[in-house]
Amino acid sequence: MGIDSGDGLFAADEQTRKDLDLLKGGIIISPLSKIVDIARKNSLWPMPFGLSCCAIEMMAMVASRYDLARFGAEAMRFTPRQCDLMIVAGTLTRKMAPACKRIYDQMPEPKWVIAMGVCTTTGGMFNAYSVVQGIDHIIPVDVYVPGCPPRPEALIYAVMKIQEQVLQEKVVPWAKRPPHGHYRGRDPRYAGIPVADRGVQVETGDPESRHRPTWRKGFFGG
Amino acid sequence: MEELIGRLRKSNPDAILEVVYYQGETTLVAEAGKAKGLLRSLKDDEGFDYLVDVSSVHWPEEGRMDVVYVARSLKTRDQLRVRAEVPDENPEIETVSDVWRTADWLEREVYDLMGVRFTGHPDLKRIMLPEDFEGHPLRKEYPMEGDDEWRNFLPAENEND
Repeated sequence: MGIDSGDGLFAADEQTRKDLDLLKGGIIISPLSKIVDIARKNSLWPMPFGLSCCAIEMMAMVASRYDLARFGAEAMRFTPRQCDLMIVAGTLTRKMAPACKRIYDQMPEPKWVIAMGVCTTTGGMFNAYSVVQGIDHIIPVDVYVPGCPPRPEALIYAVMKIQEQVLQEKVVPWAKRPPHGHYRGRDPRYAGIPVADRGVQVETGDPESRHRPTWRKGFFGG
Repeated sequence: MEELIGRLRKSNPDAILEVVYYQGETTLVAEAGKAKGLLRSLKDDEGFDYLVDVSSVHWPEEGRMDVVYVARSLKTRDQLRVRAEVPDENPEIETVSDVWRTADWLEREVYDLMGVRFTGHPDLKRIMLPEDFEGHPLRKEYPMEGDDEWRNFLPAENEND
C-alpha cells in the first residue's frame, strides 16, 4: 500500500514521501517545448519504407545486435498514421514515387525523414529513366545517410541526428506555422504541389538546406 | 530441322526470307506481313507450343526494328527463333496473342519499352512503366541522360550555384 497524504501526491514508501515533501513549494520552470521535445525525442515511431537491400540493414538496426530500442525508436509501425519518422531505405523508382509521397503526406505532423543509402539520396548507380534521382525531389529530407547499403551503426547515427533536431523544435501555435513549401523537385507531375513543410518550426542556419539537391550534373567533375 | 523448314516453306510460301544458323541456333528471317501465318503454323502444325519470349532490337543506322520471337516445342525440345523486320519509324506488326496467350504480356512489354505497335492486340498499354511515361526508353534515340531524358535530369530551379 502506498501513502496518500491527501494533497494529491502519492508515494510508494516513506522515502518517496519525504522526497515529495521536499518538492512541496518548489517549482520546476521549463519551456513547454523543451518538455515536449524530450518526450518526442525519446519516443520516435519510425515508418519503415523499405524498398531494397537497405531495408535489410534497417531490420538489422532494429534487431537485437544493434538494438534501436536503446534510443526509444524501436516501435516500427506499418501505417503512416502512427509514425513520425519515415526511413526511406532503397531505390525509389519512378513508379513507386507517388506511393512514397502519399505515405509521407499521410503521416501526422511533426514528422521527419531519413534518406537511407545512395539510391534514396541521389539515385545512386541507377542513373536511369526509371529511378527518381533522390527522394528530395518529392519529399523534404532531414538526414541523408551515405552508403550502399549503410551499416546499421550509420543509421543509428542518423536517428541520433534526428533526435538532435527534435530537441531544436519549437512548439508554435498551429495557426502560426510557417507557410508550406512548394515542391522543388523535377518530376513534372508534382509541379506546383505544396510539399508539407515541417509541422513545427526548426531553427537551422539555412532553411533551404533540406531541399538542396545533393547531386548535380558535373558534381564529381563528370 | 531442315525438314521442318522445308515444310514451313511449303505451307507459308514467301514467308521465310532467310535462314541463319549460328552456334547451333536457327533463326528464320520472316517477312513482317507474313510472320503471323508462319508462327501460327509453327504452333498448330509443328508443335511449338511454348512461346519463350518476344523481344525486339533497334538498328538506328539501318532504320529498322527487329521483332524477335523465340518458340520452343516442349515435346521435341526444338527451339526456333523467328525474326521479323519492321521500319523503326512507326513500327507495327500483327499480334500473335491469339496464337499463344502468353504473347499478350510479352508484346505489351515490347510496346512499353520499344514502341512497337501490335495490331489486333486486345489490351495494348504499358505493362511496366507508369502510364503517364513519355517515350519508349529502350529505343536507341532515347537519350541516356540530358534534357530530353525523363525530366528527372532537368536542372532544378535552385540549381544555380
